[in-house]
Amino acid sequence: MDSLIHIDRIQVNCTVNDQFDAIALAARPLLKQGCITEDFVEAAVERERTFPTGLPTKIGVALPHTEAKYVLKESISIVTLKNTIVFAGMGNPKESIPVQIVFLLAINDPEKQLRILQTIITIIQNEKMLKKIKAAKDPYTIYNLIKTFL
Amino acid sequence: MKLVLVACGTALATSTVVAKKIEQIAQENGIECRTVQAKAVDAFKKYQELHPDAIVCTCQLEGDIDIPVINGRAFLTGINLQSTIDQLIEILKK
Repeated sequence: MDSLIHIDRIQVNCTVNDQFDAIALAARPLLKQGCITEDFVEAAVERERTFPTGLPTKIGVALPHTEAKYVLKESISIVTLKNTIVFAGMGNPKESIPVQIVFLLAINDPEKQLRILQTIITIIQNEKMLKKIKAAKDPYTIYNLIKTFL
Repeated sequence: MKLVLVACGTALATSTVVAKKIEQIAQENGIECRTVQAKAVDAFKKYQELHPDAIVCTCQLEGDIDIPVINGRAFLTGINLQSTIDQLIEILKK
């Protein structure tokens, strides 16, 4: 299994107030594990305002991230949401996208992490996988689902 | 050799995946093509410097651009992917 995704970086069926809250929640395990700097969340939220990352897949997905200087150890956090949260659309900030799955990317060398990034894109293009991830009741289920794609 | 400028907010995650897909599609269609990635804020400067044949972006771009600009989101979502590929190939075959 790719070391960027860990069971303790997956949180399921979470309740948040808004997209920024969702980013902060997703960042929590990465912060605790020393993967990101203290100001990562603020930078990711700021970036989300300027360059939103919501994608209108069958089950809406967002891929918040920010610049490499806030990343201490490359990692990916996954959060599934109990309630749907609106993110703005990637490339189209005026578009409202209902999001249920968040992949927070803490990446500083995308060429090196290409495989895991491509895996995430393959997963979000797969409606069945998104449904399974959304329906997962615990982090293990999601971890094992993603493992089959790596 | 064709050149595609691929732009996203931070030139970190999405543009890397999109750039690889474009290179793969070009190769499959027998088109010699390379990609250069840019952050959204640098995209216009790179456009002026490099004179690319097209820009594929997953963000909004500012500035007066007179080459085709393709929304690269389809490469991520898979939605309307074929029409985006067709559009890209048509531009690159010119």
